[in-house]
Amino acid sequence: MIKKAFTKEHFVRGVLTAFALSSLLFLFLIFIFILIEGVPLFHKIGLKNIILGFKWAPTKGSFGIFPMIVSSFLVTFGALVIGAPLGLSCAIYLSEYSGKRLKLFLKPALELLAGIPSVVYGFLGVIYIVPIVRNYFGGPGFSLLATSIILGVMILPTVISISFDALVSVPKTYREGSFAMGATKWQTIYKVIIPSASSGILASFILGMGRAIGETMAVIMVAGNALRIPTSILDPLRTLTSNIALELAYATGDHRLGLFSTGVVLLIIIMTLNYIANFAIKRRVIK
Amino acid sequence: MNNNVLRTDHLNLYYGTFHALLDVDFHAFGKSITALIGPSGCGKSTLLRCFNRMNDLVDDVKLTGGIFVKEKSIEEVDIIELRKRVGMVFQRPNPFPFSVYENMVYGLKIHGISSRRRNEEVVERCLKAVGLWDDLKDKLSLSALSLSEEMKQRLCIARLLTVEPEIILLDEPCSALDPIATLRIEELMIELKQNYTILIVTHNMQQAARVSDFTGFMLLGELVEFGSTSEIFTSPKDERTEGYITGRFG
Ligand SMILES: Nc1ncnc2c1ncn2[C@@H]1O[C@H](COP(=O)(O)OP(=O)(O)OP(=O)(O)O)[C@@H](O)[C@H]1O
Ligand SMILES: [Mg+2]
Repeated sequence: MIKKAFTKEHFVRGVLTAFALSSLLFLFLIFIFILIEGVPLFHKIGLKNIILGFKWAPTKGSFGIFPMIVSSFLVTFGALVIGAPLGLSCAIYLSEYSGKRLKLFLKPALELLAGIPSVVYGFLGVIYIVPIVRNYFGGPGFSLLATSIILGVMILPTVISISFDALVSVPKTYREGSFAMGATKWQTIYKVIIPSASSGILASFILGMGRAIGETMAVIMVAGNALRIPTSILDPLRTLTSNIALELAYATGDHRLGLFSTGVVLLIIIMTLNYIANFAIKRRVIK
Repeated sequence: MNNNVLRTDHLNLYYGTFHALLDVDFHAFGKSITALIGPSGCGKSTLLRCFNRMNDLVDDVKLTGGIFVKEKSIEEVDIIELRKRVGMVFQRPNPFPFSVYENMVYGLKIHGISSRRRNEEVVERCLKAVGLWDDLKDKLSLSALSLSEEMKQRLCIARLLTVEPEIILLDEPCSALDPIATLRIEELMIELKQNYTILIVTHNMQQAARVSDFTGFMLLGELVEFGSTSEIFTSPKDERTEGYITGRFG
């Protein structure tokens, strides 16, 4: 009897291990696949001509994605300019000011915000944000500004939930120590709690950036997708992700490989961001 | 002579419906050490935290009766001013996760009295007062979290002194320390009482006997007996006090 139960345990354990490993395997396969498809073109055209090239004309042998790299970083930065202060304020409000009941209500609301499909964000962007930008600021409306606003909202759930976790995990004793010296609530938040949670807050910004740089659908819809480096926040632009999504359907031959090369660059950027974020979080845990 | 620096008058405190302090009439004299002893959960910390209104941070606290600091009702004192005058040291040393120096100037900064020249003078004076200056004068940029527990607790006391309190409340300040560090902190308290009024909560009866001039014994929210420490420990009037100090319960 005992032996039988034991083998059943083993079986369950084995199956679960297989599933767990398979997810790792998928990740690995995706990675290898993108590399196999994307790397050869770097050999053929030259790393420099792709990464620093200005001209993207894949049917004519030009594979420069520099404007898209710059654009991806610009929209990511723009998203952060909008999303980080908003998200951090919201997290501070939630962790320090809101009552329990509001907290219980707002957390699921945030999760809902995270669950809205990006095409819906893009749609709202086209209907509302783009016309507002066009009418009040000028330009075509499809622009760095519009994209930043949409992405800024889209990264809110990430920024809020991770910095919220960082803020609430600041030990109560720090708060007490500060209050007991006669600090006001805001002084305590500003001078003790935020600095104590800084690495977690930083991690939330970096993961938000990862989310922004990887976003595709909403960006295609509001960015205008022009193939040059924008010179003002009202100019349209095309990101790495949009480039792949827009052209993959009809690309063949080297063109198709060029899109995979775009993917390789994107993958490296995102992995770097995740690595930095993990590093920031780990540092906090160890501390 | 009325030298009551701290006093409560028929003080009752409720956490929700739980009656945590029962009609407490307590007082503590200036430039002396008063100890509060009693079994766990009897309300020592609660009483201590009344004097700097730390109980305000707890939801659903109700108070009746009076609390006086220097014979002035604390209701009439601005809470920030009150907490500046009545400093508190906690059970677990709680330096902020910044450098020693940043910890030391925190109080000056929040009260808007920080300036470079003043800061250096204050940091040195207060670290000297707690006996940390010689150890730390070259390590002011060290993270306060890397200090030993005893040094952390000393740093917390020094941090308080920077805002020039008149009264220091200590809630079991030595319970996270080893016996030798405990003795050294006790020496520090005795030194400090020349300039400050000290109220200490302790579980450790020997500690109360060693450091305090006056002792209050609490039981189930009541202040059972109050008197000079020698009286309480040698000839307690209440049999419950006697039971506790002779170790029959608690
Ligand atoms: N925030 C709170 N909410 C509800 N009840 C509380 C709260 N804080 C303390 N109490 C209760 O009030 C009583 C007195 O608590 P207090 O912390 O003052 O005791 P204490 O004498 O300091 O005990 P200890 O020696 O364990 O520190 C305890 O029964 C405790 O459960
Ligand atoms: Mg206590």
